[in-house]
Order: sequence, then C-alpha cells, then structure tokens
Amino acid sequence: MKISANHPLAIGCIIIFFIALFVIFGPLFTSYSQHSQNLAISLSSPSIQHPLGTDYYGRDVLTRLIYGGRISLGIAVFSAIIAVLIGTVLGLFTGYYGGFPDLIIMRFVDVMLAFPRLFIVLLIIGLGGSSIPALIWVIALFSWMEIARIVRSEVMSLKNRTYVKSARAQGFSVNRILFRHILPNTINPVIVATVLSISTIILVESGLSFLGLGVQPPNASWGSILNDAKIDPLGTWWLSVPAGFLILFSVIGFNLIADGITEELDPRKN
Amino acid sequence: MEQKDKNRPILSVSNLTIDYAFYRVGPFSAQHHAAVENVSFKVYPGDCFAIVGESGCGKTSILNAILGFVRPKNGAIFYNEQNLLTMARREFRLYRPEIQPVFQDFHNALNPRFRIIEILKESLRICSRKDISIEELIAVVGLGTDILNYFPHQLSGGQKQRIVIARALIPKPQLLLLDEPVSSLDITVAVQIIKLLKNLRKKENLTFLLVSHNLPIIRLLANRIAIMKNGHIFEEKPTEDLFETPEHPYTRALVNQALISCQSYQ
Repeated sequence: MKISANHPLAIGCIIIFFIALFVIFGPLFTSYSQHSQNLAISLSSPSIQHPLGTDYYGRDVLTRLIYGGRISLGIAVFSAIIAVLIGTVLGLFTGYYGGFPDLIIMRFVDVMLAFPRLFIVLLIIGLGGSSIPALIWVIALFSWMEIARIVRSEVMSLKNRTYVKSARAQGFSVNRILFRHILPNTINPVIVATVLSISTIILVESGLSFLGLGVQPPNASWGSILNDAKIDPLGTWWLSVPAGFLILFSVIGFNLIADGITEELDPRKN
Repeated sequence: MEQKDKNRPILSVSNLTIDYAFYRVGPFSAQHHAAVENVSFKVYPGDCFAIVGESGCGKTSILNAILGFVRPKNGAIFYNEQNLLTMARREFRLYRPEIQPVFQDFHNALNPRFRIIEILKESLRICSRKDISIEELIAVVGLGTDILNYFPHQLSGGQKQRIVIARALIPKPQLLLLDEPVSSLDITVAVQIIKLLKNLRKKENLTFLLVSHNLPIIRLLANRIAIMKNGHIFEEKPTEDLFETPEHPYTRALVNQALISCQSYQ
C-alpha cells in the first residue's frame, strides 16, 4: 500500500496523528492541573506561563484543551464503535434473511431516523443526567441507523452473488457465509461510515457541551471550552479559537481518512 | 455412498412448478408468474442431460430449485429416490455436497477478497477433504500452481471458470449442475472447457445436468437433450435423434440454426 500516493489518507492521518499526540502526551509538557483555579489571573491573555491564556477561573486553557480532547475524542470513538457494531450486526441479518423481521427492523430504523438526533439526545440527557458513559450510549443508540442501512443494502446485493450461492451449495454455515464471505465485502462502506460518524459525533458532543448539556464542569471537553467563551467570543479569543480549530481539524482529519480509505480499499487497485 | 444403478435415476424431477410472486401496487395485489410449469425429467447416472431453451424460459429456475435456493410451488425433486423438497433442513444439508453448481457468472463466482489458494483452502476445510492437495486439485482442471497467489480479478475468464469447476469438485459431488458454463467465454476457450468437462465426467464418474441456450455447444457434451420454452419441456430425446428427427417446429428451427453454426465449431 503506497500511502504517499493517496493524499487524502496521508493528510488525514497526519492531522489525526498530531491531534492524538497532543491529547495523549500533552500532559507531559504542562505543569498545570486541569482543575486548579487561580482567580487572580482570571481570563488573562496568552503569556509565557499560560501559552493559551486562562479561563474565568484562572485555569490553564492549554491543559484543559488536552484533557478536553481526551473526553471529546473518547466519546466520539467509543460511540462510533458501539454504533457500528449494532448497525453492522442488524444490517447483516436483516439483509440476509429479509422477510418480516427485516420489514419491522427497517421501519424502526425509519422512525429513529425521523427524530432530529440532537434534540432527542438533548431530551434524554436533560431527563437522565449527563455522565460520560451515558453520553456515549445515548449518542451511540442514535447513530447506528445509517450503518445498518448501508450494510443491509450491501448484503442484499452480495447474497445473490454466485460465490455466496456456491458457498451455500457446499454447506457453509450461515455464520461463516455472513461473517467471512459477506462482511469483508461490505467493509469498505462500513469503515467509511465509521470514520465519518466519528466526525459527526465530535460535532454532536461539542454541540451538547456548548449548550451546557454535555460534559459537566469541572470536566472539560472542546465543546464546553467553546461554551465558556460564548459571553465574549472575540474578546476571549484564546478560549474560542483554539477549541474551534481542534474540532474543525479533527473533523477534517477524519473525513480525509474516510476519503482515503475508500480509495485504498478497492481490491482492483494495484 | 450408493451403488450406481444405471436404471435408477440419480435425479428425477416430476411435475415441477415454480412460481414467482411480484407486486404491482401494494402487498395485497400479488401477481404470479409461473417460470416453470409441470416439468418432469429423469437424469440417469453417468448421463449428461441438457436442457435447452432461450433466456427466461425457466432453465435456471429448475437448477435453483434443485439447489434449494427457490421453493417450488408444486412437484417433487428426487435425488437418489429421496425427495429433496420434503426432507428436513438438517437432512438436506447432508445431500448438498453431492450436488454442486457451476454458474454462468464466473466473474462473481469467486470471492474478490480472497486469493485463489484461500478460496480453495476454505472449501477443502469445510468439506473436510484431506486426501487431496491444492496442487493436485488445480492440476485436475489443467492449471499451474503459479495462479494460486492471484486474486480472482487477475485471472482470465477461462481460468476463473476452471477454478470454479475445481472448487465444485471438492465436496466429491455425484451430480454437477452446469448453468451455461461456457456462454460468456470465447469459442476457443469454451471448447477447452467443454473438453475438460468431458474428461472429468469420465474420470470422476460424474453426472451432468447442463443448461444452455447454445445447441452446438451442447451437442459436443450432452447425450440427452430436453427442449424447453415458456416454462414447458415439450421434446426430450437422445442427442443424435434430436438432431436427425426433430419433431416440434421450434426444435426444428433450433436444430437448423445449430447445424449452421456447428460447422464453424468444427
């Protein structure tokens, strides 16, 4: 695989690599704790001690961006993984067996898709409280539908391919046919949908936190740091701009990776 | 498994009717289209029985019914005097390896994500054959070991079809269902595949049920031919009889057409 020839994948990987480095190894380079307050230096602009300034409580913004990134990206990745697992399994079985269960599950998918996701998630979080595991599950349970649809439609076309028929004629078990012969051939759109859903989930989580219903203080996420800046976004640009750029670049990075993977996974590509 | 009795049909299809439902407006106005109506024929061990007819006449539906992919509306399919349609799923799975298909569409017959060696290994494992190596297997269909590491899309049509035939031989089938096995190959390759099939039939003691629209090709392989049109079989004869004394006007037209193109094959 020549990654250098695949510009979207290369650029996307580089962006996500640096964001991951920042989030994972960042704490080694900052001497502040994400929660330690110092009201004397509240809202001070960037300086040598505080490269990205401080927030209302005098907490170091750079440190909070690092720890907030762990939460933002963690929620996005785990929600996407759960959503993909649910969507893939449901898509595989409904697509392969068809019939009445397929009809019921797909109408359920239609109902789920008909709800505006952000508002229903808002409602549930508002009623049930917003711990981080709750956020992961609620976002995941409202994100699997597209993946189930993609997998189902792929399976419906693949199950009539002659290699699947030959496998059935040779007595392969249904599970073997589904997971070894059909699933790998649906994996292109699944991977692309996964990576794309990571970036949309980053936005959903940021949106929730920006509205104050996501990650709760004193914890930070990129969205909640943006939320801190909303009283005076231009005056306290060191709060809004870096968090905004991190969200922007993660979304761009994951989208580019999805683009690149589509190109790379084509088996006809030499 | 069973002694091959020349007089006992290995496959006997009787009064088979296959019906496809399709929908016009909603789920309540199902329209039915009979693809196959009241078809009966018998295939004896060692035979190459051919069903000839134009596209859409129901030939492939018969094969799909024998393979259990389509549920017929009426009729019975006896394989070695066991009705495949009434037996339990579990029992049917025991018979499955004995009836193997070779489809027309060889481009989709091999999983595009697997190398040839993986495709064959997979079948060898599922069919638990340990008495034959992959090298021996592909030698049977006249291929060299160099292609084993290729992906299906890197092979030519003829090579793919040979691999498909090799794979079909893995479960030690008694009956091979050939659905237009050479119709998407050019003539020279088609003739090679036909020769290969002929040799295999002798060597492996196979019975063929062949389905095609191409009478000249069938003449090279089959010893009994049934002519099918619009879901009915209306003439069934040994190959040479059919070519000498075709009865039905449709058969006569087909034979005349075939005789013209036969000269080009020879």
